[in-house]
Amino acid sequence: MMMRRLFAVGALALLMAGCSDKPLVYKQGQYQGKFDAKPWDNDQFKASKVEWEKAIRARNQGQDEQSRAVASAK
Amino acid sequence: MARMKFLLDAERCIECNGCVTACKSEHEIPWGVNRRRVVTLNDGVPGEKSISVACMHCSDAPCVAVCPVDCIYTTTEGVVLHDKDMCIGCGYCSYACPFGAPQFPQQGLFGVRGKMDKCTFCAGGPEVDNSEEEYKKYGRNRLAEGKLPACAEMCSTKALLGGDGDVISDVFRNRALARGKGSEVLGWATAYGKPDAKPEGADGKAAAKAGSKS
Repeated sequence: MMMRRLFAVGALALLMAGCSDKPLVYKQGQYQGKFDAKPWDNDQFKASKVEWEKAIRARNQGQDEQSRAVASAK
Repeated sequence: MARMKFLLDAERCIECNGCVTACKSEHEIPWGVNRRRVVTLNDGVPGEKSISVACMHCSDAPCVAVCPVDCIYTTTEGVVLHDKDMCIGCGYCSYACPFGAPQFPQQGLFGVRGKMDKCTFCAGGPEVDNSEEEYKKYGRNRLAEGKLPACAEMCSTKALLGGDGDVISDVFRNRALARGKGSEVLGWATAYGKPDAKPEGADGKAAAKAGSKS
């Protein structure tokens, strides 16, 4: 009876292990074996993530014509 | 930085296909391949809604899960990309995708041996950023230039928003509030229409059935 219970717990743990997300791993310039550089690793941003995020943030805000219209009306 | 996402405001989409044209032009996509397309619901019926559809860059993408050669991956910015050198063109991703994003061209630079092609969120692919090889296989890498997808940036009515998920959802929220409506206008029902608010002329039975379920 005890052995059966142990087996059931073990089997459940094994089954549940398959429900986890595949971890996103980026190391040595690769995503799980697929080479790809970060978007800021180039001549334009010179590996500066902060600069890249600044540029993207500006572009993001550029899509908000609501705030642009309010700002220009003031 | 949050994950990169697309968000479409169906109240604003005028079915101009500017996003489709911008995508085609930006990446020189051949005939027969549609990385992005505009779908109109209840076409011709008053109150019709149009939505622009492409790869939604799912957080838990089914195409990534089913790919037998594991050629699809998610970047740290939340963009789903794939390696065309590994792709065997089996089409499993096409069956798995709820949006019909994967395309299987037969000719041209994109379609060598029928490899899968899809929206890259203008982030290129696993080649040297902004190289000729990357452009030929995946199209232009605007993200590496500090720009957002061409479709969203070209949208004339700003119905299609693309970028940092947190920021564009804020943009949409502010817009919805400025329309003078409350929280009921936010979310799926706003973007894609409420099931109980079908326009006249549409299938009344289907509308009633959908309404009773919600």
